[in-house]
Amino acid sequence: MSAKASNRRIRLLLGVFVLAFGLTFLRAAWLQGVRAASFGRLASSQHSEDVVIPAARGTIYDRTGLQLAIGEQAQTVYADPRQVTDPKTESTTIAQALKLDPNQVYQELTDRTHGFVYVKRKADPAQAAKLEKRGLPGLGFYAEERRFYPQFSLASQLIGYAGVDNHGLAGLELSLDKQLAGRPGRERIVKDASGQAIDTVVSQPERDGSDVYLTLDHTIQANAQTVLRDTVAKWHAKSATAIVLDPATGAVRAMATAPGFDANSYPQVWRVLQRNRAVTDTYEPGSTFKLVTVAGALSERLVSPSTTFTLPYYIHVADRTIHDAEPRGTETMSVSQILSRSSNVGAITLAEKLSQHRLVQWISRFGFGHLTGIDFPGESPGIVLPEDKWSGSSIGNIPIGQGIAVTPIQMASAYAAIANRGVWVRPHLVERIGASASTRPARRRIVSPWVASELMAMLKNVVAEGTGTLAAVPGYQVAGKTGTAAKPDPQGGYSDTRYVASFVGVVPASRPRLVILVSVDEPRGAIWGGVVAAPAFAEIAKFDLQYLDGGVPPDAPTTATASATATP
Amino acid sequence: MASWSDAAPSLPSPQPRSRPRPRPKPAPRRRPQARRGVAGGVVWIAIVAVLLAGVVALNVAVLRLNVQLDKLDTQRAHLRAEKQALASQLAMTAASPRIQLQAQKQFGLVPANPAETTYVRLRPRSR
Repeated sequence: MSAKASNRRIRLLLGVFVLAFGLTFLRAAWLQGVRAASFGRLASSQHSEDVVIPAARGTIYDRTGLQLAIGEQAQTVYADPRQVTDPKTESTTIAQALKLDPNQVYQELTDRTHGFVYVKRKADPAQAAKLEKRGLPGLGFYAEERRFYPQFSLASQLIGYAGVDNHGLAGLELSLDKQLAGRPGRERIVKDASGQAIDTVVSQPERDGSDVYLTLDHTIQANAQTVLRDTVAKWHAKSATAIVLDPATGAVRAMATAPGFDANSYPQVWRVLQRNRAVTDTYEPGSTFKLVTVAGALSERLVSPSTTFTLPYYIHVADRTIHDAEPRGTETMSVSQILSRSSNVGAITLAEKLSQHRLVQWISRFGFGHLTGIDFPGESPGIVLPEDKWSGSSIGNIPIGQGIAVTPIQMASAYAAIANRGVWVRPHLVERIGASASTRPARRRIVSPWVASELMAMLKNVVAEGTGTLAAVPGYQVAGKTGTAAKPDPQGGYSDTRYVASFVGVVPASRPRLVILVSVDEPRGAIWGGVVAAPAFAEIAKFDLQYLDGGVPPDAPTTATASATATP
Repeated sequence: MASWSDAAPSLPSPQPRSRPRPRPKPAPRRRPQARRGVAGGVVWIAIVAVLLAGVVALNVAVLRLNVQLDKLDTQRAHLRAEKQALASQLAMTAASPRIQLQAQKQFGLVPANPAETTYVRLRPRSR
């Protein structure tokens, strides 16, 4: 072979190589440059995955540290109907394992228009684990957190509930959702062919929700609920509400409504049972409202507790005639007796002396018609007529708690202010959130310490010798007021058969530790607050006084001792 | 007349012309450079090989750590689930109303009557 031929071949080979490399280079440039984005997406979809790391929802504790709402691991079961080979057998197996309707599961598994269907969200982990072991084709599982209420019906209206997506839907779960929910984390992971994570490209850690500590005490709450349940059953009432409040701090120790419900099964419960009536519902308070009238008259120095009035059985106000609850002749009553005997005529007389304008101011000063600011969603401000809307007869019904609607928490706060030497403290349910320090609730003086002290003495008479004798607690001095109010009739006027019976009291009266409100809606057989609500108050107070701090020492005069041993 | 052959002095017979031997190049001068180059190449190859091995080893280590991390994440999730389950069990069993009910049923617990309760108050500083 000549050298010339040899050189030609070498050049040819070189040309082939150059061409091959050129083509390769062009192809590489095409793939890396022009198609880079689309291939990048395709590749990343195959071996990288964006994973959302859910943040654990914060736990709700009571003041003793008991969990009232907690996050629990659950398994969500889903299916790809296109991969399900034997829908009939699979649906039977799934339905048996997860306690579902087999026909419904079968319908879902045979719907091949979808590539993903939920079989059961947040199923029981044990049930799901058994099902997973069966290895059914087309069935998938992933872990999710579900909300669990380990105390079941305890304070369920108050705590509320979180939905399937772990967002608060009612109660404190709703109002504190932002703090409880936390922030989910994100990760972009690279997987190998077997789906195992081999690298984490981007990582943003999750931030768990904050724990919430309530002022509520589960023992006091449970007892209040039990007493209310028994009261509703005894008087065949529509419902009942109770509030236990610490007057010095405004901390709510119990807020109960009967009938209650199990928060774990909220979707099956009527909405009407889910309401926290103590905050969201209003009622006409009746005689418990007379405290405002008397407090106004005392504060304006128009009367003293011993000032007497000659009171007939009835009184005319505009076109209305208002009389006392019990028939009687014309009597002379002191201001203290007006309150203890719950005289409507007496209260209206005091209100007329006080004047409409000043009464309106005192109603506002006690917080009626305004939100208390309690940390619970959906609070009602109550219904208070503005002064320019008052009719001629308003001065005849508002001073005795008719024609005005208040919430139980407003009423309990007003009595707590009197128990707290005239200082109103904003009622609150949340002690603290996470590690943050608890904040001091807002407070304002509404009556002088002297007026508060005089009112307490009058309220003690209500229980000692007035309408509230059934509220007495052995060993303790109790101050309180009964209330009985006819409910407004939808056809106009007031009903003759439907009443709200209530009692608000302070124990021990000498050194108040608790303010307890009990209101019973539409009791049958008896309608009086002193008969229906006062015994429930006594039951709650008796238990709570023994429970608080290992027992609150009795303060009744018969048990008063010097400094040695006291035997009541 | 003299012939050319006679007149011409006899010339030495032409010997076959041999190629001049190439003069030996100063090889000893260039050889140490080549050796150094080869040695340097080997060193570089070794260095690159070590670096490559290091990169591979590092990647393998990172891969192992990532796999381990993934396993630990899974383990953490399991432990967390277990903790949550235990916490809810504890919350259910530790509730005082439940304990009270059990005590009433099993041992006949009766709440004390406050009217019959004796409270002892100690004087200040008394022991």
